[in-house]
Amino acid sequence: MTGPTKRGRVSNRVRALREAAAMTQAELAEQVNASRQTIIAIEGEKYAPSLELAFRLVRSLGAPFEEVFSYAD
Amino acid sequence: MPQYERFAWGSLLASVLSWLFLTMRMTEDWMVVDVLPGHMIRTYGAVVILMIVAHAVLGGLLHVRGEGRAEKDERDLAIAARAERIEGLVVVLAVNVLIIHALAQAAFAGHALPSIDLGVLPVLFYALLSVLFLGHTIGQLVTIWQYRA
Repeated sequence: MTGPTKRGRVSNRVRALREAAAMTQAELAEQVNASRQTIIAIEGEKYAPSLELAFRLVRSLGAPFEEVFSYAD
Repeated sequence: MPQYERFAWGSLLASVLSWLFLTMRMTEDWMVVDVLPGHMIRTYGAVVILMIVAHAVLGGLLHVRGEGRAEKDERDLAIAARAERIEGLVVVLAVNVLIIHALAQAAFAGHALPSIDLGVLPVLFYALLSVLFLGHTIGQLVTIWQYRA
């Protein structure tokens, strides 16, 4: 489900991969056409992005989808 | 603080102040007073103008700060959609409370319910506008809460 989410259901490694790519939150936000606050919320796992935004993030971070996002039942 | 959260704070403040203005015009000691229709029309016009001017000023202030109007991204839209949904639910709930209260008041003579005589125009006017303000206020609170959660 897209939107505000309980911490831990959809987890991600956006922060680690962004820092590894030496990218700022603002730069990543601009690349994926989102606000910096949204990147902060995604990195803090307070917001689960839509599939479309998730694909844009994956593409910008240059990593396979499963490496960036994971879902725990 | 995100631009749309700041806007929600401003809108919340405008909503509360406008409702206080409405209350000041329509009540004495928190009881609705009998006023002429002209007084209500002027009050309604003033409240509408207050809200429009307040929101125009809010938008202008963000513009003066050089931020322009940021495009809403998907999270902003999701937050706004949830806030609007809850605002709608609050309005529906409040109107239902008024209906049930009016019916109960008519059906059970000698009850202990506080009297809200919706058959009197100033009371109906004040109650319906207050419901709209309540919905708007809750909507802004939900918006702020979601940005901060």
